[in-house]
Amino acid sequence: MSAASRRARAQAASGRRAGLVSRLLVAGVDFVVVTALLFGLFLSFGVVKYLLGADSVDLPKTGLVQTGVGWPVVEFLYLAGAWSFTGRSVGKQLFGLRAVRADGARLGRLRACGRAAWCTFFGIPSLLWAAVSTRNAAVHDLVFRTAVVHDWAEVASTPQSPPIPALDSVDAPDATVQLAEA
Amino acid sequence: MNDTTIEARSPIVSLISLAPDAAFATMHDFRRVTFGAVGLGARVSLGIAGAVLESSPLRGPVARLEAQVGALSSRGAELRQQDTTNARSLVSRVEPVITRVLERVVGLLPIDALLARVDVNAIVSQVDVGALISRMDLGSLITEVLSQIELGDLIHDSTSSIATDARDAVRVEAMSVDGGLERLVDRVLRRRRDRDLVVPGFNLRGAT
Repeated sequence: MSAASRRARAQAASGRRAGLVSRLLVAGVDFVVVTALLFGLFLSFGVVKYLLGADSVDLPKTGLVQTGVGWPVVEFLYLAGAWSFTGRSVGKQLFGLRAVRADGARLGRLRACGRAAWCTFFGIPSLLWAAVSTRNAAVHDLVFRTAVVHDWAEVASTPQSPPIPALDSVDAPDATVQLAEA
Repeated sequence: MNDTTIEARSPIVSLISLAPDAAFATMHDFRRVTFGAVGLGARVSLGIAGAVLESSPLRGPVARLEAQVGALSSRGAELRQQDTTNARSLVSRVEPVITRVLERVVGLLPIDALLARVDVNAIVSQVDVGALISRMDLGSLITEVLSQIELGDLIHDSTSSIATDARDAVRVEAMSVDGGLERLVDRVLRRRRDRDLVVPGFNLRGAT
């Protein structure tokens, strides 16, 4: 497939909800990123201790508790921060996806933090529902009224005029919620 | 030469030996007197002429003559200026005509036929290419060309485009697999309608 045809296909797919496979790949990349961040955090602890008088730079001795607490904290901060600002984590940036509200607008900070907290604890199992949903929506998409769409543009998109609620869709009370929010 | 030798020479010889210097001195004095007399005469003449011209009977005619000459002079200057302007405008009007004529002439010339009669191969074969190349400093030429090409930027751009193409290929493949999985699940669940995958209100900036 040529670069031009890839771009054409990307244009055609832009704004469409991403499928399970793309989102799982994104989750895999984000997992690696969070691991690296956690490792970096531990390493920085070692460096600070060294600067404060330790003999050498050593990773702190961590156990299940430290990792069990540290991992969710780092993941939550990473996801909440990334989704709040651009709607994209590193994984989503790599695969050209973006988390948006159900009406196509940018995620707000509150919604991003709530979604990040949910994904931190229920991430993959929650995501598997996207394979079955008629709108490729994960459980956290249904709970927080969000969607993950293909967006290869580098700049965040802007929403159009207020959407007409889809009254014949299977999954959703979105229409009533959107009207209530408006 | 001592004093006795000088006294032994004859007066004629002495006289002749002094003649050149005496002649030079005489000519010098004559020139000075002559130029002085000429200058004096000129100054006197000018004074007299001025006095005569300034005299009452001649003052009027001289003034009229001066006015006429002045008018003629200014008219002459105007006419000269007009001639210069006319000449310039004539040249500026004629130049495009000449250009068109020349272009027409060049267009009528059978240049292709003329060139066809020229054996370029024979001319080129007479050129000693080896000698030409040996006279060129290829090293510095290549260095200069490479310095202008910005190889670093070229490599960076080509590497970036390779990485971008690889990234886009992965994205498209993931999209394809998404579509395949969706069709499979829909078939298993026996769904008749397509999935609603469009997010209303999502608009790409700059999308066509």
